[in-house]
Amino acid sequence: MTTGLLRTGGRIYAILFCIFMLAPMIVVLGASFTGEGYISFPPPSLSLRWYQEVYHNDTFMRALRYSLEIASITAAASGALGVAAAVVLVNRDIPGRGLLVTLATMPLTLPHIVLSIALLQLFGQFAVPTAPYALLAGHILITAPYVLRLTMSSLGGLDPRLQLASYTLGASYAQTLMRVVLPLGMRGITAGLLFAFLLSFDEVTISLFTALPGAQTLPAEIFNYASQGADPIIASASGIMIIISALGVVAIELSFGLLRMIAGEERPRRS
Amino acid sequence: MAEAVSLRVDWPRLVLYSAMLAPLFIILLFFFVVPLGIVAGNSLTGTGVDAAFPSVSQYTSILTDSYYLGILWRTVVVGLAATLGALVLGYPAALVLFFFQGRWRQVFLFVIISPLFISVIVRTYGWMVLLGPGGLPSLLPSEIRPRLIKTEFAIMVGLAHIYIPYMVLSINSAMSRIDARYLRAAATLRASNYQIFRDIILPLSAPGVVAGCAIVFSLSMTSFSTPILLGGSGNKTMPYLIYQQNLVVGDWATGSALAIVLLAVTMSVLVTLTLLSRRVMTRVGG
Repeated sequence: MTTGLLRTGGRIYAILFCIFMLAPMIVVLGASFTGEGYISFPPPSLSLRWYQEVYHNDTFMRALRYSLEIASITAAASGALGVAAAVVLVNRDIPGRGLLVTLATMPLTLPHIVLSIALLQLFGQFAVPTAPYALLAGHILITAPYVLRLTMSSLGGLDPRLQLASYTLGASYAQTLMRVVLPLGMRGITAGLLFAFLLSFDEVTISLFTALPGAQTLPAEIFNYASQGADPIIASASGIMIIISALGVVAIELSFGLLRMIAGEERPRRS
Repeated sequence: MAEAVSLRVDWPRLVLYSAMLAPLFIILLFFFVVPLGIVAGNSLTGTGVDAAFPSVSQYTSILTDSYYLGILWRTVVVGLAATLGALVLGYPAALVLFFFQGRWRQVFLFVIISPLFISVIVRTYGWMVLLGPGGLPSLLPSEIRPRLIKTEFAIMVGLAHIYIPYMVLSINSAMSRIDARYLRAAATLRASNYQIFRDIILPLSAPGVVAGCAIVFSLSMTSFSTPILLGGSGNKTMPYLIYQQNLVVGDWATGSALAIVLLAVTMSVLVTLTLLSRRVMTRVGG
């Protein structure tokens, strides 16, 4: 019947759609292993030549180190700010709780281009150099809301009786926080920190506006190279970014579940 | 659940909670609220030497300049085209996701979501290679080989691909709220697949379509790096102008006004689209 035909059609569409979704990444990875001096896919010869070139390229290596530093500081700062706010805002009796959560997530609704010029003008107004402070402020603003939300969602299902039990047994607030609440919210906190790290590591617009010309982050440096031409070194630098993102995705999947984090879907539990 | 409400102010708790909330909200105030105020203020700077403050002269000079208006128009058209592309390709994907079960559904969802974790710049560069002279066009004989890179079409393809996960997720979340009993009832009443789609799935997924279009459109309108790399200097969009005025020229007044015009136009297109879709939906009876 037609239902069988629809099912086959759906499967074919799903396969084509997957190819479309992954095509740019496959092409970049493929092209990065070329042995030639120009971009081509599929590569006529395979080699790690362009990964060696990146490794010996001071600009890209400095940018990679800078990106990793900025992403680490961002994750740590957003983690501290987001988790501290989350353990308070998860209590249902906080007055204005909904409003505070909305306020805290406001930066996510502002386009990065507008946030970038806002930070640029703020620092310019007071003649403070934008790097690294404006860069970090921008990255913290766009990542802290995710840490807040993920921590709140993993603490949301927390049984309030556990905290009461802890108080009843004579524990202080700090002890209860450190030994009951935070361990129970660990999965959400870990996912939030990993996500903050990846978002900061991947972010390009704010970096382009606030990092100084000689000290760009890796995505911003890739942008600068790509706007001048299609050197295979861009493909291998992009390849490094894909590998780091993939590691981050695996870590999120293991700690929290990727589908649960983005699509709100529970992954089937292992027993 | 309901614990006894105490009217006594619990001072230690109040101080502790305030201290834990303060850092995030202080950062929000100094690096979000204040800078936006500065942008709004700068956009009201008058033109000329003895110009008064506040003045709307920045806005009037932008909105009467055919160069700016042309770029604004291109930004809206490219944004709408990218949104339409994401909808046309994404809706069937969400539909497949809706009917898929089990392991393959998880795999499909994973493939849709995972590109979100890869930098926009990498995905854009992938399209530069794919649409460039050595990419897809080289598969065609050289006489009919089209030039794809550095065109508005390239910007549209790149933006549609980059933001399509939001479209699929948004439609999927509306579809997953559809009561499965409706589908069973319709099947019991011998409704055809097409009738089930037209009378149940389509109207009930419409809010997800509207939300998905709104997200993709606003992200596309304000995207900075993708239009520059795929469109080149011949196809500038508003974010590039904002970059140019703020960073290259250093004219904060014009740069701020351009940013606010971009926000205002994005918002008004979204409001128009939402009102239109609401009218269509009530007529269809969804």
